[in-house]
Amino acid sequence: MNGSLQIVLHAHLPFVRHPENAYHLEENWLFEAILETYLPLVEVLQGLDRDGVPGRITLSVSQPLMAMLDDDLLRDRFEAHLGRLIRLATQEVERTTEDAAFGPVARFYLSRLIRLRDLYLHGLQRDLVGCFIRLHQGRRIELITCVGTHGFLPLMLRDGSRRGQIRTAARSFETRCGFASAGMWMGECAYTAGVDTLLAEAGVRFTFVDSHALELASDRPLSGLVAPLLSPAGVAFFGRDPESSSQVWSSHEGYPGDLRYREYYRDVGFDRPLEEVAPFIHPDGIRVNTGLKYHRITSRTEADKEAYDPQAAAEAIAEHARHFVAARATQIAWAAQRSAVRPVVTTPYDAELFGHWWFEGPLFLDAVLREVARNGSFSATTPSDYLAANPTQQVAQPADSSWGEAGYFSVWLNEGNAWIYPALHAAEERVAAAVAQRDGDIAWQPALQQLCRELLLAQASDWAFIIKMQTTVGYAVARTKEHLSALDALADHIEAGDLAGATALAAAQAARTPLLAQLVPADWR
Amino acid sequence: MQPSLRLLPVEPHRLYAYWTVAVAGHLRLVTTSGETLLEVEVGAGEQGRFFDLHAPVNSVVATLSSAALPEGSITSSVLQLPASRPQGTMVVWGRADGTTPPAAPARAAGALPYLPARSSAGSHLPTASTRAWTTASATSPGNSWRRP
Repeated sequence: MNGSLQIVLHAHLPFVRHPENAYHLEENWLFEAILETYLPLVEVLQGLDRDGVPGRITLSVSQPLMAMLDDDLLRDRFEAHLGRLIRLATQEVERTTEDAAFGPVARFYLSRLIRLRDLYLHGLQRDLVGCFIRLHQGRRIELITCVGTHGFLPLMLRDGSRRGQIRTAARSFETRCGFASAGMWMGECAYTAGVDTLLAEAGVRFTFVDSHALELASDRPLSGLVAPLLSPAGVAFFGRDPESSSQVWSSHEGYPGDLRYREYYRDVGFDRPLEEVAPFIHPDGIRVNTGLKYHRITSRTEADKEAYDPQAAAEAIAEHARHFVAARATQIAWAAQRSAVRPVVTTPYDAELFGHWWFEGPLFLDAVLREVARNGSFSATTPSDYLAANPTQQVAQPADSSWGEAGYFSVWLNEGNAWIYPALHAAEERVAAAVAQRDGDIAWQPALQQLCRELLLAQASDWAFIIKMQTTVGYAVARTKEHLSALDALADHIEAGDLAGATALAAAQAARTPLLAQLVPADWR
Repeated sequence: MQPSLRLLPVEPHRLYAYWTVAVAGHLRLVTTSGETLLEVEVGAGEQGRFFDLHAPVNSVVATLSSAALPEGSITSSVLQLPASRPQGTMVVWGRADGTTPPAAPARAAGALPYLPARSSAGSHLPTASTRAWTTASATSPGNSWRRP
């Protein structure tokens, strides 16, 4: 073999759980991701196991997402959501019985929904995290986690806050999964020098960065991007390969833009008369995506879209998988002749690209792994396997960077969201002071833990990202302020020495934030 | 609480400064060797501003001077900006498992050139001219949640 390819999927959603409302719009993010990405991905991975196809991928699952997947309230709500969708799909099959173009698509969706419901309820017993653990134990995937709440590490004020993000995630992952996470995804692949030391202290052996973090490292990377750099602290940094990334990611010329693939922006929730879809959308009549999308992309410019044809999409998948693997084979063979070490091409993506945005994405992954096995000139591996076989690597300090637009921090720090940082930094200082003041007394631990948890939740990079992208801005602003206000209220009690008040308030706050149980406030010192 | 002045990196040539006290004053950005990069007046109602630097610098310090400040001025910590070009050319080898002394791999024994980050091998898409990412329709507000 000339070298290897490592496909890395990063699965993350911000922690969204609203028991106070019978229906909460933003909880749909989780339901869509389970139905459109995680379950189809499980189907693919189980199918590869069944067929004995070699090859592994890396799956990063953030702790907020793990907590939501494990949460019984959200599981109940997802089940109810799935039930509603099946009723809608059944209604749609009846409506389109005589429709030669769209009838088959409606039947396709109904069949798919029933199959995925069976997988979730009966195949997995509603336990997706348990399924990921089994896939790791069976060596189909390498399961790792992400910094605490997907915090943007370079823009934090204190190393204690970065340490808290990293160690809390490492502990929570190990408690849930029964083994340590060998790697850790940094929120938005955002890196600043010194984070490597914190990762190493937490037992993390590898992470991922964008290509320029290696290209602009303290010393030029001898093997370009086809080998990791070891940081001075000994953590391996794998750089994103721009060629394979753009083939899948690019909004202009990536595979997902093929005209045979499903159109994301046409959905029954918006296309059908309100009275038809009212029982299946927001109770106040707010239209939402249902996931029933009947059109193919058809054209870049034309508003008229043709009916989706799964068979034509399958042909596109086969073509694109063959092209992707042939391109990697050429790339890896080229690098093998020139690289100082055995080449590895690292291609990381948001997991939710596959299935949610790019409907056919999970089937593309399936086809790619099967094609890699057929090709035989390189393997599909994971970072731990690669490092075990190739432990000697070049040492250099990666450059500060992120994988966001323009490559640095401007997506998360700009004129629209800069107001977050003075507030977050003040909160960091308040947490550190409270920990220094009370951490010696075990009686204060529940209050201090919740204080740290509110900071972690406020630090999720999702809020600044949403504000920048102008999507659900009101929700992101409200969540940032909600956690900072909760933190301030708790800190008032702690600073005043009101143990009973702090403990009671912390218990009430903890009841609405059931995640990250393995918090050690001393990390924030 | 003591007033403070902080610098945050945005891009190699761009930073954000904020200060925790509402005063009118004079803000100066200097390199660690003392070279002044820019000076601006700031108003009492302003507590943060983005700055674009027109020359590549590695590290910056800011000072806000105002008669309204108890000490007359406050100074930030040193900000390291992200590198905008490759740095050294040393090649040092280490072990990912940390178990044995570093040694160059056998393949690196020869004088290999630096490998370009982009191979130009197989990077072209088969029918790029016909591709199009999805186009938002007029009926959809695009209320979903993450990328692209």
